[in-house]
Amino acid sequence: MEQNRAAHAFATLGHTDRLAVFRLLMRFAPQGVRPTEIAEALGLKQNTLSHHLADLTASGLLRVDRKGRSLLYSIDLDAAERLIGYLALDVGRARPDLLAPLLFAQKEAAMRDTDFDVLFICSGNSARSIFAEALLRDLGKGKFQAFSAGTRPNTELNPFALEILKRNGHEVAGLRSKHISEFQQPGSIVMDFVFTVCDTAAAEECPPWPGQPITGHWGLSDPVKATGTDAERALFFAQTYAALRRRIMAFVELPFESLSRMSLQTRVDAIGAEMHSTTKD
Amino acid sequence: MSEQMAEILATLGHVERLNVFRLLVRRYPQAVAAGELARVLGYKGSTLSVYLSVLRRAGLIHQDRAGNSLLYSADMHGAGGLLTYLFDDCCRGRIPGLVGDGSIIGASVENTHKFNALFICTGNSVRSIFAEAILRAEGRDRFDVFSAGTRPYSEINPMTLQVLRENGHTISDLRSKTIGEFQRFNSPRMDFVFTVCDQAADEECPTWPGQPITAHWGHPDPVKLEGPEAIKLMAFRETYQSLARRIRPFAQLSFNALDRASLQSKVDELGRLPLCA
Repeated sequence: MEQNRAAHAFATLGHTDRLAVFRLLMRFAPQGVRPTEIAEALGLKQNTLSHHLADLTASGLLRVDRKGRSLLYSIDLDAAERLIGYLALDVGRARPDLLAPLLFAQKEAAMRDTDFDVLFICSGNSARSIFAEALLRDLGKGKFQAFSAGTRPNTELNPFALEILKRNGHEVAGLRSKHISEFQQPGSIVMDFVFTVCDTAAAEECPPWPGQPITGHWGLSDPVKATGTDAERALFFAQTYAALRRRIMAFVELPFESLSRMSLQTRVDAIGAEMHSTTKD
Repeated sequence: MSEQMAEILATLGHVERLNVFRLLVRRYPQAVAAGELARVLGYKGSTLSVYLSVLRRAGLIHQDRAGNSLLYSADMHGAGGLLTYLFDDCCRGRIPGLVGDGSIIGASVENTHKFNALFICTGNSVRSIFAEAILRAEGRDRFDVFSAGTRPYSEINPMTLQVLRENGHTISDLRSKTIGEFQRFNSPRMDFVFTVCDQAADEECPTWPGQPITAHWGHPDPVKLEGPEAIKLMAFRETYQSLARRIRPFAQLSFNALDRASLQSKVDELGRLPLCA
């Protein structure tokens, strides 16, 4: 990366609000987010945000795509990689004292158990992440330990969600709503994968997970917020369940042993992206 | 956390300040006087001192006092913190090229073939030639040794040859050459690159492919010393001895038992040895 370009990118990120936009979009990567949603998530005024988005786009860190009548902003992952590479390799000359934290933070091979630890996060931990947990537990053929948590968990599981789980033959006894802090204690299980299954959870600031799990964002609308008759609401829950079932079936079929971290990330992103349009509309 | 990181990013988001920081990383672990920084980078002293205080406040550089002058060195902890933040916290480990798949750390120094080591100074007529000859003698079966200059002379300084002969080195295959010879696509991949003069470390130089371990073992140029021949010759001998004091222990390191981080700290330690006995 050329030096002037790197300085420009650093300067652009060297501003708390712009850095917050970059961080938010990184949590949604590789998907794009509408400016209105970014403004709402970060509590920024629309016109202030427009300036930040223009600056970030000009520095090459963001891409903008048009979808229908709205613009979608997303991280240019290659540019982010070039910037970090510039700092690590060009400025930092790959000095191991600089890179060590990056390397040692990864879950040690020795710590890896034979199965994968996977955490699903949504806001309430009462429907979507609970579906995901139950699905992965039951479809995962013993290869996975599934967990779920909420950023603002409800006190109990949603009755529609429970009904659907029972109807599909899932054991519901061990399921409960809990806060993500249960997984952020010292000594907590080090996750291999962390998925956000709602946009609100992805939009929230969350400290990085130890062990550098692969993260994915599979945004689904909240069925709890659906309005209408009980039948209509039940249908919406069933659709959400079906959407998650498709993703998790695709996920458990990935050839984990033969994929590199990079390819795994790409596959996980693809699962989130391919089904994005079909479930959101 | 984010506010502090935004400040560090903003500090680096300025070409001149970035230049100062890059230079100090290239000279690491050496501390460089403010006057020298100003001269090398061509900045006014007053402007430079503003850059330095901003970099210092951001935790990217250290300041030490030696007598009357202020010395600056890169703070690897601060820089590492920013890198970790960007990589781990902002990018959530999403930038896979940096880990696992190994584009950075792929160049492991654990290997069975001989190591390639390159010594660089400006003229490639004294210091880097000494270093090349010493390592070749000390590490005959473990190293392929090279040297080059950023602005090489056309031939090797006669006093260099004299000191090498005094110490029993073969001199027939030594010659001055430019680093360009080692930057071609089919050049040997280096495992170690040492700058043995401050000017060579000060110069911008493209990243070496394969991420060799780099170290800065700065020595003053004995050619520049004014005075009678006998004094000059003494300076050449001292330079030879000073390089040998670093290269002998380097050649004895048990490379296969050391990881990259320990190797880096060993070569940095050798760089911190005093210049004179």
